[in-house]
Amino acid sequence: MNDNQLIRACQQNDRTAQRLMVEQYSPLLYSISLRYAPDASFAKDILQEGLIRVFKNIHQFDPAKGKLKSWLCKIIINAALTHYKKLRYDTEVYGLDAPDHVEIPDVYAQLGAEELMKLIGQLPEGYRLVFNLSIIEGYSHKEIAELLNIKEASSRSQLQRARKHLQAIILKEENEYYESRAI
Amino acid sequence: MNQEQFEDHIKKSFDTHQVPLDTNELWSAIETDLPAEKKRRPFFFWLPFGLSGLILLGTIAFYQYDRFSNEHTQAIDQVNNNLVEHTSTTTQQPTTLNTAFTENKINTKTQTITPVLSKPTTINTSNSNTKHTTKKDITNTIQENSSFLYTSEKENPLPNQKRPTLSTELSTSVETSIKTEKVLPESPKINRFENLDVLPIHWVDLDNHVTTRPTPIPPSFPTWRLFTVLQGGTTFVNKTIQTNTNGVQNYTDLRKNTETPILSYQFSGLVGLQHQKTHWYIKTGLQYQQLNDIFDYKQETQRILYSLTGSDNQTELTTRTIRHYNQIQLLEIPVLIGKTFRNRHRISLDIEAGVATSLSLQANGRFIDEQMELGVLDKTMFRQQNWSVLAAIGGAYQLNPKTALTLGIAYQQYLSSLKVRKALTTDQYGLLNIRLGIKQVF
Repeated sequence: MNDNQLIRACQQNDRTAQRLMVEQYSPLLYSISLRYAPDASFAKDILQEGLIRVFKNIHQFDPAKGKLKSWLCKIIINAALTHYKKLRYDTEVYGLDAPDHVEIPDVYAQLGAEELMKLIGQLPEGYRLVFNLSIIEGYSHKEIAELLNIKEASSRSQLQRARKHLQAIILKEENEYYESRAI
Repeated sequence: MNQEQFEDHIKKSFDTHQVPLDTNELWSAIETDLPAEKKRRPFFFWLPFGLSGLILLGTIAFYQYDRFSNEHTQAIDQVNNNLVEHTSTTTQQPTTLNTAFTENKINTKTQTITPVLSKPTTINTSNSNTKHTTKKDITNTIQENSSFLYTSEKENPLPNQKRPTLSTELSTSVETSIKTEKVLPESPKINRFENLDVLPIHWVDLDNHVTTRPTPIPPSFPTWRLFTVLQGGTTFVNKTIQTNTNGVQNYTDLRKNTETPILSYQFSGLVGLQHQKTHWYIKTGLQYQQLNDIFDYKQETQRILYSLTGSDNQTELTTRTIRHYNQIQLLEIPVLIGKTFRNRHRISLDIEAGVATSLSLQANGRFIDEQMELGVLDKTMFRQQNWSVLAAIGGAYQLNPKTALTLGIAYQQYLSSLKVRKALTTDQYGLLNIRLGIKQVF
């Protein structure tokens, strides 16, 4: 069954097709929700809520306007943001900071998605949101500002801070690594 | 590697990244929240409707045929009764010939007619057996036979001026009959009276306007009788509840100590068909029942309080006792087979068993906790179609030949939980119903 057939069947509320879609796309969507959630349990809640939204709104999806995968990802991201809006959104700077120009060790280019996810997971939630939306999903600052209900300038500054924070984490990990080697 | 290259690497890494998870668990979690599927009804869903329709049609067909055959059996009985009356002695003077025949009171002098009528005369029924019986045919037949009625003026019980002109009157009567009579199915051309030594005089029946058509041979198939039952009563709910755990919330059932059954009731209107010889019957119809109950359960909820940094998440365990009010309304079609045991008195005993399927289910649940926080039970947690088995025993007291009062007890056990599989609790209902009703036989 291709995507178009799957969409048509899901639009007709066919349980088998809906289940097939869950089986086919949930690993990808779970990966996205994990990037936004503080833990796996939270990520599952996001995924669950996102999929319910998918099936309730699938009749609005037009295959001519875009790919199913992109549409699904967008809905999961929106579900994640809704979850975050329920919590108090705080974008203040947290402790760590880094110099303006940091060279990231080449070894980081060898990191896989799991390790990178752990790295990004160390970012404070506000930074992580903007970093995910901007760098991974490719949203513009205007879109991020609309999604998070903040100013565009705030989105830019949050991203800069997120980058610095990430660099600081990398530096910290590097230092810890060398310190452990020295011992 | 600069920041930009590193971010590119991150983006590419996540483009196709997938994390495996248990899709069965995920699907079962979301399935209950999805809009209801418009699924095709399976065959067995329509079975009770089909069965009820067939029973209804069969009932009407049998009832019609039964009434038709009863009419003619009565007609034959009436002819025979009249003949018996003719041989008895009575002195009452009839005022007119018509009323005399209607009341089966024939003047003594007409008794002398009987030997005269012993002339082996038969009415040629072949004409009247056809669908195209005409007034002329019947009038001729009457005139032909009426000559045997009064053999002499001396024996005439009525004076000439009062005596009705038989042929005229019968013709009028026949005319009326012809106008009102429907075309009847053909019956075999058998002269039923050829072996009788007295003529079952056709004009006797003409007064009742029934002999213009041939007397059919009484049907040989068993007689079925239509009956209806209207009944209602109170229901005791016997519910076994099983609580499910979803990992975050635990439920402890406190029903044993707290359950307060409140009035539940049931009404039904059934139509049935009973075999007259064996007293077996089958009945179906509609059954409405409302089930109410109150019970408590303890809910333990584990909540994770996420901190903004994600580093110092806390787990909070809250416990609350919830009082649950359940109201379930069911509209069902039962199909029951049973047998009636009669005695010589007016009391009979009915034993029956069968199945029922629900046409619709309306659930109205409310719950309230110690802090008086209200909630509403999600209606999607209930199944719309449920199957159950029933058994009942009851007595009937006959008020008159066609009406009886009934009193009985019935037990209905649902074969599955009224709630869907993924609900937090699954309830298996058993209903004990005590009911009073009225039975009408047609």
